[in-house]
Amino acid sequence: MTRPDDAHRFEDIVLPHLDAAYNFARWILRNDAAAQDVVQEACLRAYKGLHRFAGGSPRAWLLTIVRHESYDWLTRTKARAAVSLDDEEGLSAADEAAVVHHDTPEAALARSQDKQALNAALNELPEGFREVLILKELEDMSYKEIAEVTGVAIGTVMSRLSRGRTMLRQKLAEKCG
Amino acid sequence: MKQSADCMACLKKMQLYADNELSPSEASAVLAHARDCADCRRTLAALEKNAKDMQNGLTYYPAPADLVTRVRAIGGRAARRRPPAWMAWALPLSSAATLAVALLLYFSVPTPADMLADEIVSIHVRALQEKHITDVTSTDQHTVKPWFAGRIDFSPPVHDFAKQGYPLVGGRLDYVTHQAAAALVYHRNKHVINVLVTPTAEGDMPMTALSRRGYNLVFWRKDHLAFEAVSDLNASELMDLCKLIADAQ
Repeated sequence: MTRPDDAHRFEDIVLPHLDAAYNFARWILRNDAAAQDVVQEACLRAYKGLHRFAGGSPRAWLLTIVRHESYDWLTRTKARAAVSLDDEEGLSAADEAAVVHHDTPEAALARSQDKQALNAALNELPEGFREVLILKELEDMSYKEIAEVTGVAIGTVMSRLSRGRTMLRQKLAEKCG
Repeated sequence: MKQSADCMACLKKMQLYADNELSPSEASAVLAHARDCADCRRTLAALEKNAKDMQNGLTYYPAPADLVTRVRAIGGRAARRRPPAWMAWALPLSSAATLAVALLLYFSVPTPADMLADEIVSIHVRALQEKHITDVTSTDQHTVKPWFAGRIDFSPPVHDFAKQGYPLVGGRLDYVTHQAAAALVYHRNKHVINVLVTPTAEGDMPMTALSRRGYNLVFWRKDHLAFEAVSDLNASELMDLCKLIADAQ
């Protein structure tokens, strides 16, 4: 059910985060037309469900809907790759230290100056890792917001970020030699 | 170079620091340690540079202009269709000329009938496919009408025409041009008829029959309600039901 002031609330709550919505869907779906459809559908849902927005971060609220619609779309089109999130808790501090000091992505990036390689590397990550990296690196969301959008605990967000960053470094190292 | 256990603990903190997740006091503790430890200072610099490289290196896809236009229309269309909200800002301007221009714009941008027809047929087909024809299933108009009362902000006419051969089967909520609609479901022999009702600011319009993708449709407006009936039923019997509905309103 929509209410008289919904049009204004829609402008205040949803419209400012349209870029974030599209960027997120575009990265999940890797497809412009699908991302446009999904975002339009998500915004329509947000409009219908404005009364369910209970304060907090409007961006996280909208992206939660966008994420849901995106994975729905992938399921419908059977394009969704198997999610592999095993071993995500298994990184020790020593592993992370080794990774940080060994071959940092910024070094690789500086060498190659290749944004394409970085984008391709992120695209190759399993979606569970890709989505937290997008929300952190491109949207600069807090762990709490990312947890809200992806529907997992904050600890899980942290471990996925950590593992995702490591995987990204490895992919980038492979690509850049 | 080997790091101390202290630095190992610090490493986790440094990632949190780089991600802006630390409280001010925790953050200053990390910075204090990095001042004294060259290893950690390098790590911290690397993490911060890493975040910057990600932001600069990863493609950010802003929403394409026509997507923005389409999404704006979701809120905009509803706002136009709702006289109270619209009057609220239009009247204070209180210039007859402004009002005239606004009205002209409003009426000169109608939803093309065939776009609406396509949408109505899609709604009908979807309702049939998903076997989600009714939210409230009852042949009793006195059950169906109150069901809508708490769910939409207008009151659709709900009447059973079983005697005339068009039994009411139930109702559900749907959306027509992004606006909440009351969907009334009737049967005629084996045929399902969806009648969608939405409030409208526009004046009455006589019944218009058309067909689309093998379905028959009838549109009309009466007393600030817009009706769209759709079915695979033949056009004349569908029209008969529409007349019954309009006469009973």
